Amino acid sequence: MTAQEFKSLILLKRPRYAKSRIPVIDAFANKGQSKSEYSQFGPIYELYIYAFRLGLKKGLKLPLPTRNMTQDFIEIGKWKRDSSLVDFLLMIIFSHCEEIGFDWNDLEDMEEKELNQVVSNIIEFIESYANGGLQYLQEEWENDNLMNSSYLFADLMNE
Amino acid sequence: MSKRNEIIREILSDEEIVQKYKLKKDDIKNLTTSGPYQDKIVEILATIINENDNNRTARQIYPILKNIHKI
Amino acid sequence: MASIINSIAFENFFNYYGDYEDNKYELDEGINIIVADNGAGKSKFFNAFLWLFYDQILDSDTKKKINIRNAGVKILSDKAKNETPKGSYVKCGVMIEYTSGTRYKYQIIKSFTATRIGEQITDENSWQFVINEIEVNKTELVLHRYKPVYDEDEKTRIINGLIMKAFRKYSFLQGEEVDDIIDFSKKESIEEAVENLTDIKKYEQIHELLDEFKNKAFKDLQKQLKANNAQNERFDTAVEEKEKNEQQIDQEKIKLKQWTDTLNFAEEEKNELDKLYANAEKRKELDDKLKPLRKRLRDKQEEFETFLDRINNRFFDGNFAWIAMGFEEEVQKFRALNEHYIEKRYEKKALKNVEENPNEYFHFLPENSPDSVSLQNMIDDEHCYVCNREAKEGSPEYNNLIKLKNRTKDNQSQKPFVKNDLKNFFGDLQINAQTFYNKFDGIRESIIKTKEKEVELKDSIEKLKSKIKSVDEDRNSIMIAGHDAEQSARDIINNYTGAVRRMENANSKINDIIIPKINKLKQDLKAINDEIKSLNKSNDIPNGFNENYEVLSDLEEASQKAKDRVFDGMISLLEKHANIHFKNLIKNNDLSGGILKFEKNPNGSINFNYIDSKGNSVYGSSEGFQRMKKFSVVMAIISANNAEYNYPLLADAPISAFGEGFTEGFFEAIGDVFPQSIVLVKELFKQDDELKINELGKRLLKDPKVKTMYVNHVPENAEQIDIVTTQTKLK
Repeated sequence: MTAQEFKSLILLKRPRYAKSRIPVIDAFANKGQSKSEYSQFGPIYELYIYAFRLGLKKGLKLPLPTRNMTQDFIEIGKWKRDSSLVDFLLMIIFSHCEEIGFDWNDLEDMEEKELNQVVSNIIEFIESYANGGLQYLQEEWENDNLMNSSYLFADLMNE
Repeated sequence: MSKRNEIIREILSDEEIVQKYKLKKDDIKNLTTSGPYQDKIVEILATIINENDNNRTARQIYPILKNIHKI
Repeated sequence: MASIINSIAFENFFNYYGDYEDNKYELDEGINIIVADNGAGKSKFFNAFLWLFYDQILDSDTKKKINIRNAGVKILSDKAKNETPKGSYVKCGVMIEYTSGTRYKYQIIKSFTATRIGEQITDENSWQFVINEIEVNKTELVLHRYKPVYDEDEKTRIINGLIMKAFRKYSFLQGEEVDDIIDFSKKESIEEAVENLTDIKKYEQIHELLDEFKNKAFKDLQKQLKANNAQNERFDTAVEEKEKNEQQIDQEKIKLKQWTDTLNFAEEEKNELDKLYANAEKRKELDDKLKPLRKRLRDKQEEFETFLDRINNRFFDGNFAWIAMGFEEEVQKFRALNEHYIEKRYEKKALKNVEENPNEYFHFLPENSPDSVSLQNMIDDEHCYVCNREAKEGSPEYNNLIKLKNRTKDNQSQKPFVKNDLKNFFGDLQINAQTFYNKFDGIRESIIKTKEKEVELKDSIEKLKSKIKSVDEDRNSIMIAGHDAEQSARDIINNYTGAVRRMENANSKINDIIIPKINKLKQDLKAINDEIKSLNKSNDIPNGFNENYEVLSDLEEASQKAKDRVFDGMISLLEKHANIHFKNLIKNNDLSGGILKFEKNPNGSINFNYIDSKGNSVYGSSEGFQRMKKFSVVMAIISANNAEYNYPLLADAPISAFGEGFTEGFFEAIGDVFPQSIVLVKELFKQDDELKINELGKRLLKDPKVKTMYVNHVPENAEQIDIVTTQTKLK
């Protein structure tokens, strides 16, 4: 498997989120729709990446529920095309290889099946932290702890 | 009274009248509507002013004017 | 001999509950100010005078004047009504004391008695009203004891002595009434003032008489001539000529009348529109100013919205990369992992090579070391310069050199040594993601800058908004009476210019054609008359007839000229006075200095214009300005009449609503014109001040020209029956 093929393997994945997060996603990602009272992200993946970062930095790992209680959205390869955002994201993820449970050099000697498993683990890693981050946002939001400011998300990162 | 004098002085101070009837400017300043009158023109105007104030009509005043001219 | 009101007092009159002593305003010569908010008894003051002079009051609901007989329930204090038991009666009245000259003081009381006969206090049928006879008392100033006046004529004389009938309207100003008093769309408005100020009526009467006598004298003369010389052909021709000429003059006069009517009509329309036009123009000007401001605000707001919407984009935009904040460790870790990975990878590769070709460990040599040129030299020289040994062709040493030189080629044809070559995967990530992790140092700064930019945008929006608000307020203060739509502003401008055009047309017809023609005819007539006179002389008729005619026609002409002189003299006097007052009134406003100009129209009406320093008519902007022009004229009418006008002014500060500058100018100006003024003003009231007056009020309180100052109070949020006006005397 070439580097390109390996990357594609990841980029074709569609991460999932728990259906219970739909309200918070509707509130904070406008998906090009009308505005809400809160500062919002555009597409879901923006909120998703943000939630992932929040979850990761706050150590909020929360595995997704069973598959039928989750929902997917666009594949990673389509997140902010023509940008190196995904590359940066992958950099962050691969720096957490220990936690995910693989070794870079080992990857090079793996069979395709094994590689697929690693990629699945990577996606699960993203999903768990994103879910943790989303849960955090949801709780804060439901408890009215969120300051309605345009800098809500920037300020939240500094906490 | 003083208003009548004011009116007669104002009308007779007209330059053409002064010249034509050979009135003296100083005399005009002291003119009154009561007689006796030096000039016929003064008498006529004074009569009109006075009689008008007495609420006489034109019909009543005109004969008085004619009397002044003895016609 | 000025009339000075010493006091005004009320008994159960509207909100002035209680007897005269409770509701007495002591007043002095000079300026007296009564500060009262809306509903605190301002209009009641006017009603007291309306009652006094006309037996009327102004119904504040219908804005119509009603006779006092039908107004009892309205006038009587609600509190007093409520406190009067059935079968009892209560009194209501106004009392004014005034001094005229140094000898007498007068007291005038108008009142009625109301007996309660029913339950419903606001029902007219619950009350029986008896209008009391007017009480007039008189005292010598030294005596201080009033004696009643019984003679009806003297009563009337005393009431009229307070303010002479013809001047009451100038003395008695309630806000917008100034507009009605001096209504320049009606030529009578100034003429009436001139009539009141001069004996112009008398001159007119005398002129009319003389005109009639002149014609009579001519007829008498003609009769004489005919009797004396019926055959005098030349005389007959002259008389015929005279008659023809007179007919022509009459015809021209009819034409003149028609054109004058046209002119008047157009002028009336123009004057009617004057205020509206000025306002419409001003409004249009402000609208023109508002439009770009509004657009700028919209643009800025849009920019701001977009800015806010895009703030979160900055997380993912490579130029800002806010999302990278806090990932410093990960990036370090990735680099370290990558180095370790590469190292391990080389080891792995080398080991694999060694495994496959144990002899080819030189692969441990770094690539291009030694470089290919040195290797070629060594091959050519059959000597290894690295270990300084011979390497003869065919020897293992020589073969090793050859192998080293061809190393690159070998590498290319090398087989992959791992199943999945991910070197480029990691390498590319590290290179591509630079955009994000290079920003680490700047992110916090970038967030701060973004916040600053937001404040900056907000500021400029606020600035624009407040600018728009102030222009908008200016705009809204310019009412186009009854018409508010922009469409009607345009209509007004069109109608206005139309009227001005018609006026100009009529004016040129009158001044360029008709009047010169009439003048020419009159000149001819004079020549004909002279001719007739000389013909007369040759006739043998009593001299008195000739003389009679001559004197009367000369006097007729002279009286006409005298009348014009008196009129013109008064107009220019008024103009002079109006300008003095106008200057005083505007001195606290930043209006450029121009002058008010009265111009006599051929038809005898007066044009009243404001001329700027370059001599152009200014269609005076705001309503406040228009009002001031008119008020200047009212004051001129009063001050021009210095011998006659000695009456107090009672005014609801007619221009105070237009700003403090106007109010200040107003108070300065009236002091010079009216021996006494009693001014009711709302704009000096300030609820949350200790004295209940604003800063200007306090300045006026210190002004020596201001002799007394009262503030009226009404309880806040009180029931109608508890509303009672009380007053505090500040000075």
